[in-house]
Formats: sequence, structure tokens, C-alpha cells
Amino acid sequence: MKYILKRIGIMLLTLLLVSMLVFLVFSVIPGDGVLARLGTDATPEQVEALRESLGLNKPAPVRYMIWLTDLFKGDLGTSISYGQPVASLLADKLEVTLWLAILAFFFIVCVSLPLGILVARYAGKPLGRAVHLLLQIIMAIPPFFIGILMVLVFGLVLKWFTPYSFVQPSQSFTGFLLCLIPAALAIAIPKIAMVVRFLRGSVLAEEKKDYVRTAYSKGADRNRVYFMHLLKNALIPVITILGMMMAEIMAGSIVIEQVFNLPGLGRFLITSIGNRDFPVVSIIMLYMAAIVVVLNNLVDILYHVVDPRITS
Amino acid sequence: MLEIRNLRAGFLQQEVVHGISLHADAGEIVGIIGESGSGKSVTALSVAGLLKEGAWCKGEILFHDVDLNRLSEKQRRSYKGKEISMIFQEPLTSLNPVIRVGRQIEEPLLIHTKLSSSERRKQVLSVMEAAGLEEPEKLLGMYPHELSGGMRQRAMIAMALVCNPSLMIADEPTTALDVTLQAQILELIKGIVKKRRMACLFISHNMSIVRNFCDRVYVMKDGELVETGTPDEIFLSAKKDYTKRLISSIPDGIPRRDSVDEQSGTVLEVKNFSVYYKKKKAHFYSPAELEQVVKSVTFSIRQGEMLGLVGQSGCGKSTLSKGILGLQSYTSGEVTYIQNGKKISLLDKSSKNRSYLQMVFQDPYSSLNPAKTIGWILSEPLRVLRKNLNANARKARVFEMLGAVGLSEDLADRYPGELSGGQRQRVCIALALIQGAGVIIADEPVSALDVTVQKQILDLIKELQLRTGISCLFISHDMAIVRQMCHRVLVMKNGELTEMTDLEQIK
Repeated sequence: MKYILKRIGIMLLTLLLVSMLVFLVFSVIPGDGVLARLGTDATPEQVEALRESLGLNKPAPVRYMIWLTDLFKGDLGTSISYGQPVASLLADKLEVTLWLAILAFFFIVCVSLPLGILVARYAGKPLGRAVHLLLQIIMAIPPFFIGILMVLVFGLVLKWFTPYSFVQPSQSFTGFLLCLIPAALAIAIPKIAMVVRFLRGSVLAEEKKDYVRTAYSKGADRNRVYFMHLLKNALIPVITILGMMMAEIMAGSIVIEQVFNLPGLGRFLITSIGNRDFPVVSIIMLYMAAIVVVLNNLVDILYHVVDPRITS
Repeated sequence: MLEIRNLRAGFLQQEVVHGISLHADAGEIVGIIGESGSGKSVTALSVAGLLKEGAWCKGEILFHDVDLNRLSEKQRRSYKGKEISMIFQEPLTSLNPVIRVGRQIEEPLLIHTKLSSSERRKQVLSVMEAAGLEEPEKLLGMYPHELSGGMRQRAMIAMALVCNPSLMIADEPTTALDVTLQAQILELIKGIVKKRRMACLFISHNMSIVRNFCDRVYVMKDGELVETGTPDEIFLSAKKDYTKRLISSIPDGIPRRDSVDEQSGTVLEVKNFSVYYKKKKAHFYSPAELEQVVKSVTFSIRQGEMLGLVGQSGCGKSTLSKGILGLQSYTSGEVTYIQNGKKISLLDKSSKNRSYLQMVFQDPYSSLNPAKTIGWILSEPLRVLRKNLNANARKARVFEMLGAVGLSEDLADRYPGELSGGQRQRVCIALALIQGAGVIIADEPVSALDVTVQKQILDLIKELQLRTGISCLFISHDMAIVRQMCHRVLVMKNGELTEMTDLEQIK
């Protein structure tokens, strides 16, 4: 319990630091949300009036404190460029990005764990070597390129899915998930290659350990040794890698949403940065940071479940 | 029960066991002794069917008149853990760290029998008791890291017994344990073997254990059997030269007769010296607490004196020696080095003072940088501390030291990986002495080495000490070695020191 409270405390602190950082960056970069909204034709009086009404004339630290206290009251602020509450602007976009990340993570875990064990078992044999080489090549391909290839090959040539189509989750949740699958795969494939290579190395290292020999000495066959003894040990370092990957998946989604034309946070983030729309950008950043931090903590908890040596 | 005929084994093209034959009967403990590389472990693993991929074995391994070598892999597995079980050297790494102890002990039953879970539990508890594990119910749910070293090895033994096998192979089962634990575990194995009329193949490099423990002994060298007989035949009337040499290398434990020159003064004085470890904080805001590990010890070493330091593992021996060297973060007290009547405090962290006191570490395999040549390693302290020496002078000094420790000069261009364990430990000794240290601390300097090499290194340390008049703090857990090496012995227990006056008394 104390442990969990401490974790939550650290999480909140991280989010606070992220918000400060975003605010700091925004007060340094040139450009102005008001000008972006009103356009270049606006008279200085109009600009000044809008500034005044949005509270942008106050010094930066004061603005930050106002923004922060509003946030604690549950008010996420109002978009400068759209003039609408940020909360309602972001709600459906958050859903897209969140599910995209979950799907990508799901693919990474479901494909790379069995594949990693398989590759380790065939290490040194022609099949294992071929797959190993293939993975090395896949690892080097950026996700957006895989995305474009997928749109081309599976969407336009094979017509397995309709590129750039999007179904609102409120219409059909399954349809919505199906739309996300190609994008999730584009994020997942290079990561899968990485995790498989890592797991392969981990399994091969564990294979040399004494407890594996002990297991064989009890008459266990290879499958039993692998799945009952070795796997749990080999997964410990892989869990760390998976945790660190969460941030990369979120970052990857920004680019991939552009490629697949998905209305997620990432695309909105880029537009909003262009508009210098601080209220929107800061909340998106906080969302993303929160997802990364929460998942990282889940990974840490998973760590405790897998490795009994950590708790004591 | 077990008969091995003309067993050959090796890795890929290389043969390491060249046709050996041996047998073991029910209720008999058969020892195989030999130095590292003699093929004794490969022999054991061949019998157990646990050779690594790429290794092979030929010849007959008859177990109850079945040739195990001709069985399919599946048939072979039905013997492993059920008829033939194995105990390994290092119980911590041989147990799976993420599986509960009870489950690991139970596993052979799961694989080989169709017992119900309550029957399995009953059998597990009964072998745990037989292995001397108290309160077995409590241990079932624990993980290996929560057990002490001795308990872990007992758990391994319970695991090996759970299917009532008729052959037990023990590969150095006590090497990783403390002396007192060693005796207990050996007694336990002996009792079990005799009571259950099992056969036991006992692999060891420790001569005295084999002598006291086995019914029959095979001596192996370079993959061949040299000699066989009862322990008394081997140890009292060995026929072969190699066996004789092996036996003469065993530390005799005859106390050292000569004494330190009356005139020689004190070189190192340690006064009220304590070493602390930082305790883990109870919670974030609690103040940092220190735990006293070495408790205000006082002793001194005279010039030319060999001072022994003994004690069980965990008593603080190594912590004390590192503390004196200034390698611990939290210490209090005084450490004074006396050179020509001048007192020099060693506890300030200036590197110059380090040169008075040097250390020889236990494991020569890991304490030399594998990426540098021997010459580079040896000249490193000279580069740091003797800035006035030029490259040629350093080279001359390196060659001089190599000669002093009995190594040839051309080793200077080699890498540690190309040297044998004994050669590496010689390099470590040269390294400790190269910039003229007056006192060296040798922390278990021979426990990672084979007996014959052990003897050579001990002789070297003794000879260097007599010739150069250096002093030495000699840390060991082997009483026989300490007795024959040291003038005086300190005993450490729970971080406190007492001096032993009568060396004959030490057991």
C-alpha cells in the first residue's frame, strides 16, 4: 500500500514536471496563438482585446499558476484557436490514440514472445539464422515507411482494407478497432523485431545457467524446461524493455496517425503546435505522459510479480 | 549397480575422457578426484546424461545392466531424476530463482509418477525432513533466495531424493559452502546413502574430504584413470607418481616452526578500527543509519610476520581487509603504517599511501583486466605512483617482478585469458609487490586454485616473505593452510577479533 502511494506520488510529480517543461518551451518559441487564430488581417486592437480576454497579457509564471489551479479544479482550459473547451475537443481523439497504443502493444507482446522463443530454439540452425537476419533488417525500417508500404500493398494492391477509412467507435467498436489494425502493425513490426532479438539473447543466456541443468537432471524434456523453468527468468529483462518501449509507441503514433490519416491525438498535437495553442498542446502532452507513466508503473508491478527476489 | 566400460567423452573433435572404466555398488560412495580439466565432471555428466549440446560420449554405461548410452533420449529421460539424480556444486544458481522451493522439490514426482497432489506433498515433506530441513511446511512456499546456503543445498538433496533413486551423483556438493556446513552436508549425504542403500558417485578436488568420506577412490588425470583403491590405499601407499604428488600437495597443517625476528618492529598498526555499512532506510525521511560490521578491532603486524585471519564467511574478514586498504566508504579508527620509525596514517585517501599496503584477491580469473596485457597491468601502478620512472625503467621493474614470482619475461605480452590460474595468481602477487609494498593482504589467495597449484603459490608467498621481509595478513578459511603458513592467527567472529595463542589448538 505504501509502495503504491509512493508510486502515485512520483507519477504526479512527473506529470507536473512535464507540464512545466511544456509551458517553458511555449514561452520560449516564437509565434502567438492569438495571431494564428485571427490571421494577419487582424487589427492591433482586436489582437489586444483577445489577448486580454484570454489572459495572455499576464506574465508567464502567473499564467502557469492560473492554468495549474484551473487544472486542479477540473477545468482543462479553452482552445485558443477553436474557442472550445479542450476537454470536449480531445475526448474522441484520446480514444483513438489510446486504442492504437494498446493494439500496438498487444501485437508486440503476442507476436514477439512466441517468436523469440522459437528463434532461440533454432539459434545456430539455418532457419534461426535466416529469421535473425530478417529481424535485423526489419528493425532498421522506420515505422512510417512500413505504414506507407502497408497502405500500398495491403490496401491498394491486395485490397485487404480500405486505406484512410475511419469508423467512429460510437458507430461500431469492432469496425473502429479494425481500422486501427494496420496502423498498430506499422508501429509494432519494428518493435517486434527488437523484442524478439532481445528475448532470443535472454533465452540463450538463461539456457547456460545451472538451474536449467538441474531441470534436465530431473528428467524434464525440453519443452518443460523452456516453459516451466526458463521462460519466466528470460522474461525479466524483456519486461524492462517493454516498459521503455511505451514511450516510443506513443511517439510513434504521432507519425503513424499522419500516415494513416487517423484523427488521433498525434495529428491534433501537430496542428495545435502550429497554431501555438498552448491549452490544447499542454493537455495532449499530459495525456501522453500520463499513459506512458501509468503503463511504466504497471510494468514495474509486473516485475514484482515475475521476480520474487525484488520484493524482499 | 553402475558399471562404466571404456567411456570416452569430449566436445566436438576434442576428446577429454580417454576410455575409463569404473563401477559403483549399492550402499557405496565412490569418489573421483582430480584437478580441474581432469575430466571428472565430464564423466559425471555423461553418466547423468546431462552433457551440453556439442558434447558426446561413447562406451558403455551399464546401470542395472541396461546400457544407458544406447537408450533413446526419451527412455533416457525416464531415468533422470527417477533412478539417477544429481547434486550440483552451487546450490544458489542450481535452483530456479523464480520458482518456490516446494514446487522445485516436487517436480521429479510430477514428471515421473502419477501420484495425487496430497501424496506428492507427503513425499516432499518426508524427503525434506530426511534432508534435515526443519519445519518443511514453512519452507515449501519460500523462494531459493530466502534460504541460507546450507538450507539450499539440503533442498537440492531433498530434490535428488524425492523419487527414491538408486544412484546419486554429487559434483563438488560442498565446495561452495563454509567448513562447518561442509561437514554437516557430508554427514547427511553419507547417512542417506547408507540408509537407503544407494550408490553415490562423489566428484571432488578436495583430498581430505574424499579421504574421510568415500569407500573407494578413483584418481583421474588428463581424462584417464591413474589409480584406484580404498582411501587408505590411495593416501597411505600410493603407487603412481601423480597420486603421490597430489597427496603431497595437500596442506599438511603442520604449524610453522620459525618465528619472527625479535628485533623487528611493528609495520602496521590497526587501532579501534570499525567498518560500517549503510543500512537500508526504513522510509524516505528516516535518517541514514550505519550498521557496524567490523567492531572496533585492534591488532598490529610486525615486519616479516605472517598473520593469519580466519573466520566463517560473513564474519567480516574481507570487509576488514578492504577497510584497511581504504576501499570502504564508512570507517572509523586508526590505521598506521610505520616506516623507519615514522608513522604514516593510511586512512586519508591520498593515493600515495596506497603503495604501502597492497592486496592479493581471491579469484585471479576475474581480478585482472582481460583487455590488457600482463605487462600493461603490472606497469599500471608504476605509471600512477612512480612518475619519475621512464618506460624502460618500468619495463625493467616489470621483468624483475615477473622473475621474482617465477614467471618468464615473455608473459608480459600475453593477455590474462592466455594464462593458467596459477600463473594469473602469480601475476596478482607481482602486482601487489611491484611498487615496494611493505605489507600485503592476501584474501583467500589459493581457494580458487587446484591443490598442486595451491601448494606452489603458498610456497611462493612464503619464499617471497622470507626473502624480502614483507609482512602479510593472510585470510583463509582453510585451517590447515593457515597453520602451516602463519606465525600468529586472529579469529574473527561477528565482526570481533580474538587472538589464538596456540596454533596446535586450531582445528
